[in-house]
Amino acid sequence: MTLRILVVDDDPSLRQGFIDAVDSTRDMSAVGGAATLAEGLHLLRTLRPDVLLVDLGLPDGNGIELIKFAARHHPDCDVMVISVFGDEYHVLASLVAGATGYLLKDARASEIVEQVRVLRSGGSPISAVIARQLLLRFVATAGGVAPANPDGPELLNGESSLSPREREVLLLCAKGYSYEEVGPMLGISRHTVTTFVKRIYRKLQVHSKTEALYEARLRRLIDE
Amino acid sequence: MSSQRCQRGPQSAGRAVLARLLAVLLALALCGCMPDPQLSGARHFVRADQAVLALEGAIDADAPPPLAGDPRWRPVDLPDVVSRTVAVQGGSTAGRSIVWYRVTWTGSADATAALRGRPLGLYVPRAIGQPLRVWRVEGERWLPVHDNRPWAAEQWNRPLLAEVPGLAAPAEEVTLAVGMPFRNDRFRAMSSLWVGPMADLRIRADRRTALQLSMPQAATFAMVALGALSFAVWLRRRHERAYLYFALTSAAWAARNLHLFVNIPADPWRDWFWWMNAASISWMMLATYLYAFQFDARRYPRVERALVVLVIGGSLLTVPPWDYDVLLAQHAVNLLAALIVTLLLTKLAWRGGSRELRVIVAALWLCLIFATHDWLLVAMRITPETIYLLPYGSMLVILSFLHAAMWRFNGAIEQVEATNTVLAFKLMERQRELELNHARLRTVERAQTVLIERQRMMRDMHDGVGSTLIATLRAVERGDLQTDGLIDVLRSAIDDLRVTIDSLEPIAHDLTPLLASFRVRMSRRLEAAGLRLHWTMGDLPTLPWLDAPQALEVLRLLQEALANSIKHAGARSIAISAQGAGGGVLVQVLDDGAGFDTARPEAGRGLPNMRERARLLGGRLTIESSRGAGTAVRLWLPAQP
Repeated sequence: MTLRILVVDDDPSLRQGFIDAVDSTRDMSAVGGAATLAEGLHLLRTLRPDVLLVDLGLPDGNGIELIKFAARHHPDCDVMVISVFGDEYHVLASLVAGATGYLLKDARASEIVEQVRVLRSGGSPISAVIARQLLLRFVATAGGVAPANPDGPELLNGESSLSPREREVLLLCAKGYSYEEVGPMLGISRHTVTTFVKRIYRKLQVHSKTEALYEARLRRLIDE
Repeated sequence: MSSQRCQRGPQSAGRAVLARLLAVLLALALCGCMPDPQLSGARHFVRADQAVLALEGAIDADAPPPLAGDPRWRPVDLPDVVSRTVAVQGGSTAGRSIVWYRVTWTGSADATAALRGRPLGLYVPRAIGQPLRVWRVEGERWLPVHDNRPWAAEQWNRPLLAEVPGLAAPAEEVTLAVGMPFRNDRFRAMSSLWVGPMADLRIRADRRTALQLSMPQAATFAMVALGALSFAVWLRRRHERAYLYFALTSAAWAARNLHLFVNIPADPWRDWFWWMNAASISWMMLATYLYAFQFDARRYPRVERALVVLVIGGSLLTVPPWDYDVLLAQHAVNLLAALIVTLLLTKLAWRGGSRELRVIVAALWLCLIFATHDWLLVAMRITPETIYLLPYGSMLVILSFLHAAMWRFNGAIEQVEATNTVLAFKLMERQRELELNHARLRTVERAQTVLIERQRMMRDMHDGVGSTLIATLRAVERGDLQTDGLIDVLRSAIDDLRVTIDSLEPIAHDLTPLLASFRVRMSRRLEAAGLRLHWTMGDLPTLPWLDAPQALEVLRLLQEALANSIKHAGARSIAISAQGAGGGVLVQVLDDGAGFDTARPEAGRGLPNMRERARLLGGRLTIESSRGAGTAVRLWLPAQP
């Protein structure tokens, strides 16, 4: 079964680079390439790809919109954001919107294929800075504000808070250890580490919604 | 006191109060003279029989009046005033005489019935002369009823009310005689007489006593209290003479009204007491005018001096033993002077004087009218039945003082309020200025920060990516560079840029994510060079001084260390570690490469560069290496700079 991939990037050469890298494999194929947000949305609806590679800076809007749309209407579609530097600000916003991975623009063809494959098999890449940010975000809500509200812990438990194992993975990633190193340190496989990370990304999405909901409720409580 | 004028406020209220007081005073003055129709039974005698006898030989003041048929009884109108020396029949001008007034009261039938059992009496509103004697007819004889000698000193201003004992009821007719001894060379006056039930007469007598004595007493008390207050104020505010002059005015007034409170002293002080009583009018006048002059911005030292001379001179000229005519003349001169000064003050008030001055001038005019009235009373030019009005003048002066004080107080409060408003406004302005300055400073600061940051980035770009790209461009132009080489160069340029970006990430003074990012950035180059990386990261203390510029220095330093290991050492593996040590952080880069002689390092290793960066960071850099034994680069960074 072939993985169907959609590439949305306004730079033609970069777009073509990604399409070529994907098409060079036997188990993947690029089903389309779009240069604008509108075109991307259209193709996303009509083609229903398995994986969406999307750049944030599109001429007619922000790629975040596309990520949100995919996360809401095509939950089976994995989204990778294409970033120049993998910097915290852009990547984190994409993860919150629903992306579960990111690609650097200068990645080699082999790297692109490898990352897509990992993502599709349930794993996600993570950088130390992102790991650190995630730790801060989850801890701030779980340990700080939530206990004040009786609804807080319930909401943050389970779906939107971190398990101890997930925390350990994030802590090690934040220290710059690679997946290959983290696995043995925790006595799990590299693949399990990547799936932990992907699960954390999903939780981040939920967590962000919970956070927003919680914040809204808090505001309403204060306003009342 | 301030002559500052203020347009708003209870000006009309002040006027209303003055007008009301004036009305009350006039009403009081009138009712003192007018009979009350509600009282019944008492008869008012404006005619009487009069007999004047020289007190010589056997006849003395204690002898009974002439008998009914005596030819010396002659009808006379009351009040009977004799203001000039008269020759008394059979007596010398130097001697004494006695004047008798005889009246007969007849009760009407019904009134008598109503009055049955109630005592009768005599009421004399005013008698000016020596102590009165009262007799009544009992059959064919005169019987003594009352001798006023114990109250001789106060007789001139205290109404006489005498009960006629044993004549309660059912008397239908009572004949009384009132005798008043006098010196032949002195004036005398007898008001009209009242005879009737004591109850009726007492009401009249009490009312007159209140008007002549009690109210002036109360006014004097109030004046003295205010004067004391004013004096206390003046002690603290010596430059405001109005307070002093008001205090002096009240003192003079108290001296003038002293006779209302004390028993007149006996000789030889009696004459001095009356001298003070008379002279105090002029003292009062002087102090009042000096007080009034304080309310005009202009000064009239000549007028003030003339007043002082006049008053002192008048007081000295009238020292005992004085003559009655001299006293009258003194009062007349005082009146004239008062009139002139009041006219002058009126002119001042009329032409742009302060509100206080106008009120004072109005009070002065009323005082002047009262004084004229009293002078006429003393001079026997008007009926002795009226009361002395000048004591009421003190009330007016009090009122004018209160008015002035009120305006003064009001003005002071308004001034304070205005000052506060101005201060608040100024404060607000200053605050706004400060805020503006602060904002301006912040803008400058921000611009400065941006400038410094830009310079830093420029330097970094210039030394790093910029020069790499330019060198690459030259090489490509010369055709020296093949595709693979080009890719390597561009990748390292991108890595450089990533390090720069990483240094700008918010790391909250924690070296950990910085080093972790660095590891990810470098891992590809290490892999490409076939190097194995051992990564060890402990728990690091935060470095409060670690911000973006310092972060970049740390990363560049490590980048150079790593580049040396890759380019020059030919190492197979490299170990990067970081841990807390010695109150700071120790970062180590160890390789198993060729090493070099630290005493003679080849050019191109960039060691001086690394040392310079370490120095800028306030850290310690040690580089250990020897040929064939690898290289150890250790960077220690303090927790506190």
